[in-house]
Amino acid sequence: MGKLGGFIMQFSASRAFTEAFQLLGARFGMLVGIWLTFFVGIIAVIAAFGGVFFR
Amino acid sequence: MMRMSLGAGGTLTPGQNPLAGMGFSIFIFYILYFLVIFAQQIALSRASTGRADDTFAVALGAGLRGALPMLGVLLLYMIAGIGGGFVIGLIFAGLIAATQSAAVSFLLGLMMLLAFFYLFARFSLLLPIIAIDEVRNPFAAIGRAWKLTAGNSVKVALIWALVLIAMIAVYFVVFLVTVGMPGPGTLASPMASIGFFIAMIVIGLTVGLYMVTLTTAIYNQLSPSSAELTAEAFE
Repeated sequence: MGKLGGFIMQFSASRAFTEAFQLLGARFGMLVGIWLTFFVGIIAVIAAFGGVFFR
Repeated sequence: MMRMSLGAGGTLTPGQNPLAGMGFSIFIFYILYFLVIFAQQIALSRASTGRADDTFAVALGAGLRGALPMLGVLLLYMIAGIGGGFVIGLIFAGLIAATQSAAVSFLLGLMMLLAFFYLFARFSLLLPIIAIDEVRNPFAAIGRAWKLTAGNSVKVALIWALVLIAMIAVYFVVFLVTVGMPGPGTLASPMASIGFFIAMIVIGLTVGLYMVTLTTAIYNQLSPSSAELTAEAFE
C-alpha cells in the first residue's frame, strides 16, 4: 500500500493483471524487438564459445 | 588459454575428463551469458513502462547499464542460497531423522514451497527497481524490493502462484491441441511435433513478455515514485 500525503493507494491484483495486458498490447512490437536484439547477443556468445566447447 | 584435448580422431580416452582445462572458459561463458540475459530482461522491463520517453534506445541503454548490478544480485542470492540452504537442510534433515514421520516430511516440504513463493514475491520487483529506478547497488536494490512489497507480500505471492497455474494450463492445452493425447507406445507425427514446437516458441515469448509487463504493473502500484507520477497525471 503506497501512501501519498494522506492519499492511500490500495494494491489491487486485478488492476495489475489488466494493466499488464494493456502494457503488453501497447508495447508488443518494441518488446519483441528488444527480445530479438538480445537474443542475437545470446547466439553470438554461444557461437563465440562454441569452438571451445565443441572441438 | 588451456583448451580441451580429445586426442586422435576427437575421441575421449578412458579416464580422460571431457571438461579438462575448460574451467576458466566455462566461467567466462556463463558470466557473459548471464550478462546478456540480464541486459535483455532489464531492457524489457524499462520498455514496458509505457512512458513515451522510454524509447527503444533508452531501454537498450538501461539494459546494458543494469546487467552488472543484476549479476551482483545473482551472486548475493547464490551466497545466501548456499549458506541458508546448508543450515536449513541440516535442521530439516535433523527433524526428519528425529521424528521419522511422513507427515513431518510433508509439512516441511510444504513450508519450503510457501517460503519459496514468499521470498519470490518479496524480491520480484528487483527488475523494475534496477531498470526504472536505476538502482545500481545490489544491496540497495534488494532492500528496496523488500521494502516495496512489505504489507502486500501475500497478494503478490498469490499473483505469481496464479500465473504459474495459468502457464501450466496454457501449455497443457497447447500440447493437447497440437500433439493430442498419445496412446501407449505411439509417437506424435512429425507435423504435430513441429506445430507444438512453433506454438511453444510463440506462447513462450508472449507469456515471458506478459510476466515482464505484470512485474511492471505491480511495481507501478507499489512504488511511491510511480504512484506519485500517476497521481500527478490525474491532478
